[in-house]
Amino acid sequence: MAVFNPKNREIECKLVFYGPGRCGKTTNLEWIHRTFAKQVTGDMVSINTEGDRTLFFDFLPIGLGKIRGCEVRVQLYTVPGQVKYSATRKLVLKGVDGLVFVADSMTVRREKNLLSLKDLADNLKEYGLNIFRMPLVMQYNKRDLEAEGIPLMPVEQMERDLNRQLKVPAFAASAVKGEGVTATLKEILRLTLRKLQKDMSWAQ
Amino acid sequence: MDLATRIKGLIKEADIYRAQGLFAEARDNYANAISLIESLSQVKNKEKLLAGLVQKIRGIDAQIEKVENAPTAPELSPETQSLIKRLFSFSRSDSEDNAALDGAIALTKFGQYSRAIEEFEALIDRQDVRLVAAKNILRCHLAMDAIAAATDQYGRWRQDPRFDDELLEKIRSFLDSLLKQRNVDVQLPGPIGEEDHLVPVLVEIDEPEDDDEVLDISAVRFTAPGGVAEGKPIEYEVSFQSGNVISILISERDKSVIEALRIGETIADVELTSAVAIFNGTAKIMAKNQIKVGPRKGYFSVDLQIKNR
Repeated sequence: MAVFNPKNREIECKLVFYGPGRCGKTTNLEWIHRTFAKQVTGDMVSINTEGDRTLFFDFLPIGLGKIRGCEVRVQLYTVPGQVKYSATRKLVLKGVDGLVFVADSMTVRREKNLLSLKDLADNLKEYGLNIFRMPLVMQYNKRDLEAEGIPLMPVEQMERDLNRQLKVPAFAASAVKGEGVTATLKEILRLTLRKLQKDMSWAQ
Repeated sequence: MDLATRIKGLIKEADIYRAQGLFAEARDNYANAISLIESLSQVKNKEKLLAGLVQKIRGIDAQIEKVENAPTAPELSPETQSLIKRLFSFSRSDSEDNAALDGAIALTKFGQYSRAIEEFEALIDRQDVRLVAAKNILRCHLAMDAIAAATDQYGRWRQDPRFDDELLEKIRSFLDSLLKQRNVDVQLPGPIGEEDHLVPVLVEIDEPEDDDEVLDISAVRFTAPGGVAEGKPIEYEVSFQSGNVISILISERDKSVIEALRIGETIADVELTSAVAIFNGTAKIMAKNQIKVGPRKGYFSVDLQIKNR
């Protein structure tokens, strides 16, 4: 849940990168960390387990400066993708204001994407949130692997699989190359801040 | 596509899957490549090729094992623990004690029990949160399977002037129920005066009946046994788990449900959600206490001993 301090004109919100294991959530944050050094307000913290897999979460605080008279701070998180860390995923999701669903474009990961999206909807529901009403952006990651000869799902198919009902903004991306990461981030920030304006009237 | 190209493609894909950390997918591709090679009668260096692929599968199996056996709650650095406290304390309470309590509880959720115990111990000085802190200390010890540490701690509190008889009795009853839920039969003496010394006697420790009993349960669903929701399915998030005992929090607004859950009774058909599966079982109502302080003040904490069917 975002915190708005009307006295100091400061707002802090929480964005979570969700998706199946090894889909590139951490890579998104690492790229943001490298690319937006000026906006980064603290260390990126990654709590990993064996094989560089996220164990608990990644955390990256950024500051967007003053927007319409209000200092905007954003906390970026990733969740652990591995199925067994369900409880941690749910915990990290608590208080979320906006979501990026990072889907893996590889054909072999189709089912994992679907399961992870369902898991997200279920976890949100447990906090009384409706995925259809949350600021949400889809990212179809790993598009660069097509050049390596890896079978990828066409974006149209991923749209049908994951975004047919949600109809949220979606971006093809290669987080490892930074392609599509900024567009994804900008869109989720735009949607989240717009929603928070409705809820909290933070902007002047 | 000729077979040689197909085999090369499978191996190349497998190498990339492996580099991506997708071990199961990589393993499948190597196995498919092996099957194809074996089906061919004339392949140059067939044995060498097969041996190389078998070696790759062995390597992947070792990596899968490492991932699966990696500790799920390793001890983190003090800095990271402090960050967890800050990021996952959701209390908006103005009370410093409640905020500190919330931070310590956040540590337990990430398995940082030793640090959490330190934080809870500091709160023992604060009368408002003493009972909650004490209970959490005991829960942390039991989460680490340190039964003796829990009973020793209770023994020290018996001699501690900050703990009056009423408080000690509540703690004794709480620890007693936790130990019983773990099939540990320990005689916990009451406050000093009732007995002169504490000698926890470990009478019998039963092996857990089934490994399934210690699965992490995230939610529990059952038919309301009474009250306004009688006959309707109700679902609660699990707030804490110690072995096969889970705690759920029920808002005091659902008073009719709380009243219908009677200590000692068993709910015959319960749907339990874990990270790996949803399964059915039974739930015996072990304890029911209203929370007096903290962000969940007014809620009822209901302890259920679950049994897989």
